[in-house]
Amino acid sequence: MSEILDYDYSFKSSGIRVGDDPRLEELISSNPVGVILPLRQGVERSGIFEMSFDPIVQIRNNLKNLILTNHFERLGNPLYGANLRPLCTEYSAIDNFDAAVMDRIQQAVLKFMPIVELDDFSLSMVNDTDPALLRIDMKIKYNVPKISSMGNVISLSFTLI
Amino acid sequence: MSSKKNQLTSIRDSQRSFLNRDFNAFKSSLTQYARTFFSDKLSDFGQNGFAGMLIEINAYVGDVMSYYMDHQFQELDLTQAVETKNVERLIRNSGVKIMGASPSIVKIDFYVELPSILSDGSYVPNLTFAPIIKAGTILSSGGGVKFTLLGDVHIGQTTYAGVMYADYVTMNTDNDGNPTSFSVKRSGFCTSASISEEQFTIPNKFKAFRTISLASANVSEIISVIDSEGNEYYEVNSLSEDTVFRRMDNQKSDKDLVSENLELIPAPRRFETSTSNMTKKTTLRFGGGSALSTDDDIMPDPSDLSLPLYGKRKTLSNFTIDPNKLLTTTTLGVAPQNTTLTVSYRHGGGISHNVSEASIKTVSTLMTKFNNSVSAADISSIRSSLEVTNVNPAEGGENAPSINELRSIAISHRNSQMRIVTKQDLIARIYTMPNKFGRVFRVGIRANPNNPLASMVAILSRDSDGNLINSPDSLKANLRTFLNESRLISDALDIVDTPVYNIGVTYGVTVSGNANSDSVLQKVNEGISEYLKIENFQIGEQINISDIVNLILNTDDVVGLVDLTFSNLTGEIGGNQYSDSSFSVTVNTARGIIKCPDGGIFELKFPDDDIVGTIR
Repeated sequence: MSEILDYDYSFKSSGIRVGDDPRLEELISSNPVGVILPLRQGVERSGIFEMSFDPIVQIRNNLKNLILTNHFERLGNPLYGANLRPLCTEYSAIDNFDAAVMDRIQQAVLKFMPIVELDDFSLSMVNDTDPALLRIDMKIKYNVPKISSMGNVISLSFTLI
Repeated sequence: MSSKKNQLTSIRDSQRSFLNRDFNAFKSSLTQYARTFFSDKLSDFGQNGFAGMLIEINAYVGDVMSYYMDHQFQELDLTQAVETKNVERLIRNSGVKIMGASPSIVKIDFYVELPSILSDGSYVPNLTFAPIIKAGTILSSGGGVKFTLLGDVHIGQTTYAGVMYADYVTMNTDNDGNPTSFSVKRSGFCTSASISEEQFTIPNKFKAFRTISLASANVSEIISVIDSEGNEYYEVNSLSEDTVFRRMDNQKSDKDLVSENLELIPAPRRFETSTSNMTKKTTLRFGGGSALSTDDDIMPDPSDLSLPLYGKRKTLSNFTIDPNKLLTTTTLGVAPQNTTLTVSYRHGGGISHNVSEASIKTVSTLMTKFNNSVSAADISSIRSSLEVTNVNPAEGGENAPSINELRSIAISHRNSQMRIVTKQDLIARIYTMPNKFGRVFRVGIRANPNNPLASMVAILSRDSDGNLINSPDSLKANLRTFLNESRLISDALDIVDTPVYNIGVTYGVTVSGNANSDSVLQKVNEGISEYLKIENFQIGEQINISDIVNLILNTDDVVGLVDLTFSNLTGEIGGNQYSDSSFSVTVNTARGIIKCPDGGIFELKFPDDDIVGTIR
């Protein structure tokens, strides 16, 4: 059922412009870029799973995916991922833990997502409720020059054993 | 439009192929496929996205499937197969029988002391006391390896003319110096394989292709399989073979040259053997028919094969037919049922069984048979006089071939076949006939000028003194039976005698001044004799005169060759009996070569008389 729009028309105009109505903008928006993780049921135009329609959102998703993946987790692509998990058990044994984590992330991004330019990296320890566990929160700033997306940030955390 | 359609079809087809692909090839194809067909649903197919991960998982599955498919193909090829079971199967498929360790064979000299008897004015061994040393007699080497006698050794066996085969020397004499006993020697072949016997109770329930497994490993020969009713089961290479060769003692006058005859008999009760390369144990597999169908098994009914015509068909299209159906039955032999099978077989072997010469001295189990007239005391005395030894080392013992050795054998065996197609096949088949059925010394094959489909097989034998003789009739009969099994039905083989052309050589040489003339002539004669000895000649082989000239001139102290002539010797000359076959040396000599007449062979029969040299 089409909706009747109430507009004023002048004789100089043959219709309305796309930008005049946000509802019209949605009708001509781009195709989905990728699936949003974690998987969840799609709403509106997404279909079965929730999809991203913005490349920036998809790149954030992918970068998070890359950093949280460890070696040998991907079938057929065993060296995919930043492989941070082994560091979780070697926190006290590594002199410069921050640099080690940063190096792994940088290597992975260079190899698998060269489109992303890492800008800043910060790491903070958080004492969790369990005294035996130490949570690390990471904040990574990055740019995607190819699509002129600057100053993007993702936050991740993992637990040291 | 159609090109786009073709492109899509091509993509779809390439997606379905699992051959010759790896992970990256699959990933690339799947990505291309996804981008082509699902670009409106998704655009991020890179490896970092969720879709990329799904593509990689699918590529991985494809890669694994492709690996196993490649593996399966690889396992079909004998040169590349790696799984032992598959290699075994392929080896069997090539017609090679997997065997375990093989036993060694050795010729043993048996010495027994026999009393003497005066015959025609001279003392000879009294053959009344001569025993038969029975097959199955067991001897031991110093290292403990047991050897079993393969065939009976008739100590007192004589030729048709009554001459003893055995050698003998005087052992004891009386006061007058007359022999009172002789040491008589005869030889027999022994094997290091042991003989075992097993019994299998077969229940009263029909089972096609029943199998039984022997307990011992490294079985080299199934001696016999007999059921409780006395029926014998014969070993065949394949259950589709319904006849076997049987050996029969030759009772004719040529038994000295041909001890046994060959006979082809139907084998409705038959089995084939297979040996596991892993366990080295042997399994016997019997036929698939019931004993009730034995008659059908021997005589298949060709009318069973008549072409069925149903309905109103008045024309026949081309049809194929398996000719084997006319010759064999569907049962592939009789399966035993409600009986007890007694299987006797030889087993054991290995390279350690190749014992050195003169190491077999001990008689462990002696089985003999004497004439009924010989007293128990004499039997005991003669048995205790038995001594054995082996002049030559035992040979033929081998460890079981490895899977790679079998693989090599199978590859080369593929080129061989159980039928005679080429001249080489025929020659090989004739020379491999077991020598109990007569030994062919030389074979020559040539086309039959009167029949384009026939070949003339000229054969020649030697007597016990090494002289060339026409092959005995029994040998020819055996050869006919032996060759007929592998002969193509459209081929004809005419087995003929080989004419022997005796030759003489006359030469004149000049020698250096200080040389001993007799010595030089002797050396030249020895050289020519060695060159022309029968072992060096084949049927139809020519004589190259230049070789003999060269041989003479290269003899020490020979300065020059004045003349050299060849002649054909026939009939009786100076007490020497030559062949009656004659030929013209002049006519058959051209360009320095003496050509042998078709199907004949040259022989220098009496080198001492047939080579005449002169000093000029």
